This record gives sequence, C-alpha cells and structure tokens, in this order.
Amino acid sequence: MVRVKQIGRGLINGLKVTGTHLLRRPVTRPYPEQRAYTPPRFRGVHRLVENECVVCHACDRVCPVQCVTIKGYRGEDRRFVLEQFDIDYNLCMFCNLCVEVCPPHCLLMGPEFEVAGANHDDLMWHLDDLSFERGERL
Amino acid sequence: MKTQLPHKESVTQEELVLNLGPQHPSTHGVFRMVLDLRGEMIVGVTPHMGYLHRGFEKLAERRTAVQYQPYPDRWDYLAAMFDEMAYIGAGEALLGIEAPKRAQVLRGIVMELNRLASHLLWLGTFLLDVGALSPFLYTFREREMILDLLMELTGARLTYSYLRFGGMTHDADETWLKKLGAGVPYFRQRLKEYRMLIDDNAIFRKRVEKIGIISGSTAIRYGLGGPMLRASGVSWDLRRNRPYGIYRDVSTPVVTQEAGDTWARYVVRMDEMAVSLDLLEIFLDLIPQGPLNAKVPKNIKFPDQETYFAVEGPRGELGVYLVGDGSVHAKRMKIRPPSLFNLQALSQLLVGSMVSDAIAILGSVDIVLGEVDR
Repeated sequence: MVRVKQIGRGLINGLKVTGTHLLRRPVTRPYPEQRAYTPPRFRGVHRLVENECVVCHACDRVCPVQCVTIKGYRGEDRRFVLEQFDIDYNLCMFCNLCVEVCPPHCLLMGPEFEVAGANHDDLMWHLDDLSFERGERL
Repeated sequence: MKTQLPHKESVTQEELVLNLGPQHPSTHGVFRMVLDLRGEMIVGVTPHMGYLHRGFEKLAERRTAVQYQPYPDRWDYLAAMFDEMAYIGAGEALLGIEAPKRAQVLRGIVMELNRLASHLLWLGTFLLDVGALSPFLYTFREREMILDLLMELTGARLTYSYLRFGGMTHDADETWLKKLGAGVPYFRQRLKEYRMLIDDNAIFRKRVEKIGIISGSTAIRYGLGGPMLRASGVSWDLRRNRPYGIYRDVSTPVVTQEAGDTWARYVVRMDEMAVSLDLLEIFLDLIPQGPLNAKVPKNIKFPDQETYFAVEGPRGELGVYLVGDGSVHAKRMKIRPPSLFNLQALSQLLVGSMVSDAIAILGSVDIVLGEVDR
C-alpha cells in the first residue's frame, strides 16, 4: 500500500510537470531552416579590412597554432601592401588572440561559423575570402 | 584489484570478463573499464584511460604564456572557466599580478555560472544513465540558456578564452548583468521543479540509494574532491578553506551529506546549484565599477619560481603546478585534474555491487575524460 502511494505520488508529480510543459512553446531552434543565434561578440571566421593592414605580423606571431600566413611588401609610397593573408581553418581554434593583438584593429571575427569543406584545401581561406569593408554587414 | 579465485565447480561461480567501453555512451566519453564479474556481481575492475590524451602539459612548455591562454578551455570542456582560472591564477601568482576588483567579481560570476552549467549536464546525463529521459531535456534547455549568456559575454559556447593575465577580454555591460539578475530567480524555480520531479521518484531512489558507498576517511585517502568528498561527510571546499579571488570576501556555505552513497552525491550537487545561485546574487550586488585589467608587462615571462594554485571546480580541486625559468614558456606545468582522482576510487566504489549499479555509480562520479587524460 505504501509502495503504491509512493509510486502514485511520483506519477502525479511527473504528469504535473508534463502538463505544464505541454502548453509551452518549443525552446529548440530548428537550425538549418532558422539562423543560429550569434551574439555580436561571437567568434566565427575572421574578417580582414584589407587596406588597413600594416603587415606587422602580430597576429602571425601570437597565433598558438600558427595558422596565419602573411606576405606583404613596401609599396611606392612607403606603405605596406598586403600580398597574401591566409588562415588555415584546419588548425584555427577561434581563440581570439589574433584579434586582440592587432594594432590597427583591422582583423575581426564575424558571425559565420559554417566552414566545413570537402577537403583540406577548402579550409584554407585566402585574402579574397576574408576581405571585408568597414561598415559592411557581416 | 584482481583477486585470484580458486577453481570453481559451477558456472555461476566462474569469472566473466566484461569490457565496458571505450565507446559505450554510459561511460561519458572515451573511457574503458574491464569488469570481472561473478554472476552479476562485480569482483574486480580495471580502468583504462588515455584515449583522449592530447599532451596539454607538454604544450605549456612549447607555447608562450600568452599563447597558452586558450588551451585550458580544452582540459575540461564542460567547465572551462575553472581551468582558465587555475592557469591564469597560477600565472598571476608567479608574476605577482592581482586582477582589479571588478575582474575578480566577474570571474566569480562566470565561474558560478559555469558550475551551474556543468552540474546541469551532469544531472541530465546521470538521470539518463539510470533510465530517465525527460530531465535530460529539461536540464539541457536550462544549460543552453546559461551557455547563451556566456556566449553573449565571451563569444563562444564552451571554449570561452575569456580570462587573461591581470583581467579579462571583455567587460560585462549593464544589460547582460540585468539579464543574469533576472535569470537567477528563474533558475531557482527550475531547480525546485527538478527536485519535485526527481526526489520523490520511488524508482530513482530505489535505484541510487545505498550503492557505491565510500566513507569519509577512505575518500580522504583516495584524494577525492568536490561533491564526491562532501557527500561522504567531509566538509572541505577550497572556496571556504583556501579562498582565492573574490571568495576571500564572501563566505561560501559548504554543503555536506553523511551517507556517502550515490544518492548523497546527487543531493550534494543539487544543493550546490542552489548555493551557486545564492553566490551569483551576492556577486551581482558586489560588482563595482572600475578598471577591468591590471597593468601587465607587454612580454610576459614567468620568473624562476614555482607555484601551486587550486580552484574548487565543479568536480573537485583543480590545481595547476607551474614552474617558470625566466623565459616566456613555462618550464613545467602539472595539472591536478579532479576527475582523475575521483576515478581512482572506482575499485572501492564498484567492487561488490551489481553490474546494473555500475553505470549509476560511474555516472555519479561525474567524470570528464578531457580532463582525466589531458
């Protein structure tokens, strides 16, 4: 009898919780149909304001996994011109260190996170993939 | 632990070796244990670890102090803030830096939030282990809310990379703090709902009571920590006994249970969640205005000294032993992962119990293999 009472109480409590949840709206986000939630500080793939880069190699040096490859030369007006800026997403762990260390703050991280590719080369992002104009919507 | 048995006549007295894992979902990661069974009784257990070894201690010698900052997130990926705090705290102790008050309070806030998230995941998976599906969905709903809060603050769901030597990367704005303040009563409500749902459940209580018992003195001898130790009646919490950061200014209530069984571990963790919510409210009142980052040398070099810094993680004492040699790298770093030590008591917990209980007991230990194998 005690046992029946115990189980009965558990059942009623469980059904009570089920009942309260029955009428609530679902909390899941149907991801591929709906955009995933990415707040402003979200650390997705990098974005580079190309003409502001001074080829200082700070991001290259601080990167723990050495996934940044930079090449540049000094142009005619003695300003550095960026020639190559590659990020290898095989290695990158989205740690934000390169963004923090960038002196002209021209390297940013956007909301995009779908970097999956069919092979390793697809994960190598080049300058034209990363390039971004200030004010452009990410 | 293997006991040599004399020759037995009957099949029921023969030993059977059962390999559990490494892909068995109930082992919470890539953990393998070989059980020696007599009938359904466990007479010996041999744990095999190391499937997730990634060499984080060696990496600390290869990366500069600054470069290593994102790595602690990957030790224990369910409670990354504590790992960051342990590494950053050890580094700060070596360098002689102290973070400003605002940063310390903010660290307390994110750590307690992370403790909640970690305990919620434990609760869900533990109940899943003993056969209850719906609490898993509820706890993951709440955990996702906490992770969203942390993502808004730090930019990532699990690998936050948030703490820095002498401060943190981002400041929390007023709207975020308000959101958190509104979240605390909500979580308290949900916690009450969980307890109502689980505590009185006769099947659950029958399943977890009086199994996996470990006494206080044995727990101390095995070096257990956290809820595992406190469930055995030992009142030991680093937040109170060896306070660090903001915990020096607040008094942390320590939750203990006497029984030392799986049920007691469940109760301790549930009560700890309530304590975390109380602490969050205290921290929200405490948070001062002011700078977030202390003055830190541009080129961080660990001096030729050594230090041990430990924080009370959700699984127990998480310590970092750090030796510097005046260069930008650490000379040696040793992590004391609480899960590894809690797992050492496995033979004590499992031998003598039934196979069906083994899963529930292992679930109550709350292991994270990323931290065990490092």
